[in-house]
Formats: sequence, C-alpha cells, structure tokens
Amino acid sequence: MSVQPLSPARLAAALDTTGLPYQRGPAGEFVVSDKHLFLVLEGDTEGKLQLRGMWRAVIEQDEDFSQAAAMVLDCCAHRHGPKAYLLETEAGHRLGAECAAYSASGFSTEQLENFVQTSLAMVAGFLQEAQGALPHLTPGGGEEPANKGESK
Amino acid sequence: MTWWKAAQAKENPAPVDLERVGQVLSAQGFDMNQAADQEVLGAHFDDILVTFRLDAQGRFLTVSGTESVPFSDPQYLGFMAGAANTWNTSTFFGTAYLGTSLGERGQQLDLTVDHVTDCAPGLTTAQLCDTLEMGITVCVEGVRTLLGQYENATNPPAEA
Repeated sequence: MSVQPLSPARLAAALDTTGLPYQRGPAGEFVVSDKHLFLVLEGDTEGKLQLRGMWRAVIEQDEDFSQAAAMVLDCCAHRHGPKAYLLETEAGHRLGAECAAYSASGFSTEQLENFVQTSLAMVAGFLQEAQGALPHLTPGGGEEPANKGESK
Repeated sequence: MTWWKAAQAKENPAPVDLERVGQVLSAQGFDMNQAADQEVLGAHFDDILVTFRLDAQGRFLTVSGTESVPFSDPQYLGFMAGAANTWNTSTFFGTAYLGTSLGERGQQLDLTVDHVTDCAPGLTTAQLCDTLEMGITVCVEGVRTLLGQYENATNPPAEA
C-alpha cells in the first residue's frame, strides 16, 4: 500500500475506524471530547501529524501536583508514548499528553489508521490513568487544549 | 532530489530492523558504532551521544540523546524537571526527561530526549530517513537546551 499525502478526508476516514464521535474545530481539526477529556487530531502535508489530549481537571494542590508530576516523569521515561506534560494555566495546572509523527513523506492508509488508533489508546489511556489516580479532581473547564504553536 | 526522495513514489512501507537503520544512517554519511549486544547503534553528534534502538517486538524505533551532569545538589532536580516539562510543552517532536545514575565521578543527573517512531506498519526509506534525521536534530537540540538550563542554574552569570 503506497504512501499518499495527508488530507482532511484521510484523517476523517482514519478516525472513523475508531468508532468515536467527533466534531470539527475552527481550524478544521478533529475534536473528540467527553466530560473528562479533550482529544484533538490534526495534521498537514508539511511535517505535522499530532493527536493531543488534555484532562479537564485543574490541579491546584501541591500534593496533587507532585503526584501528577511523578506520573508525567514515569510516562516520559518508561513508555514509548505518549509525551506527557503539565500545562500551567491561570486556574492551576492541567495534565496533557500527545503523540506526533512527521508527515512530510505521507502515510499509507494502514500507517494512518495505526497512528490514530495507537495514539488514541496511548493519550486517552494515560489521561484516564491520571483520572483514576486522582479521582477527587473534577472536570474544571471547557475550552479546547491550546495549539502548541510552531512545530519544530 | 536526494536518492530516497526519488525512490519514494514506488516504494511501499517495509519492516524496520537495526540493519536497515544502519544502512540509512551510513548512506547519509554517519559513522555509527554498534554495541556489543548488537541491539543499539550509537554515534556522537555535536558531542551529544545519540543512540538508535528497536524494542523487543521491533515495533518502536527510539532515537535517544543523553548527556550526564554532576548531581551533587538535589535542589536543581525540581528546576531541571521544570526545564524538561517546558521543553515538552513547547516542542512538537521529542520527549525530555530526567534520570539519575552512578557514574565514574559519583551520582549524576541524566538529561535525555527521545524521539520515538511506531514502525508497526513498516516505513518507506523516505520515512525512515525523515524520522532518523528528525530524531537526531530533536535529540541534540533538546539535550543542548537542557544542558544550557543546567549550566545557567548551577553557574548563574555574574551581575554587571
């Protein structure tokens, strides 16, 4: 199966294989969300394919922050993915995670579906683990996770 | 047009193994060393050790850059954890993290940046070239950034 450039239609088809309902964001990104998580899938033909997610809970207490930071370090050091991090916001910290692949050479359909399915499992799985480890933290907000800007 | 770009149009993704990784790196002019266990390739890029390895299932290809610094004062651990987190939130590729180990000069802090590629459906030569090139660039730049943060923290510039 040969590789082809990314396109919104191909991303949508790959996301369809997961059976998850999604919406399109203002920049054309694909958004999967529920009460606890935001997940965003987006890509271009110049180098960027990313699935990122954020737990809606806001981390305010030092003890919770320490536990979340330990989970982030363990994830980054011992797993193949996702990349986990803590984002500072006005309300407190939020836990985020993401997977990315270089897209300039294109993808086969199998590669694209594998990326979407594996990344969803990694990102959502990590954030759900955090939810299980810090069950007293409740969803705190509704905005979509910020685009992290320029790719490197 | 480089040779792997020319080959791209006709090529289907193929399984990735360390031999193939070594061939691509050699074709790009990199002189690699192979560890005794034959499971890791490595080379220095701008004085940063970069390694290339596949997991036991041959699925995840990890390019990893590491530099170790003296770890005599635990007060820098939180600062460096913050520096790694900042790298992770502000970059698209590369995952930064800290570790500790025992070196020749005692306890040391290991500053690492990984670039991981899922090779389950195989990669074309162009894709393999791209991800190796990206991995080397990201790992070297990431480790250099962390080293700079460490040096600034431990040897702050004198005030004018």
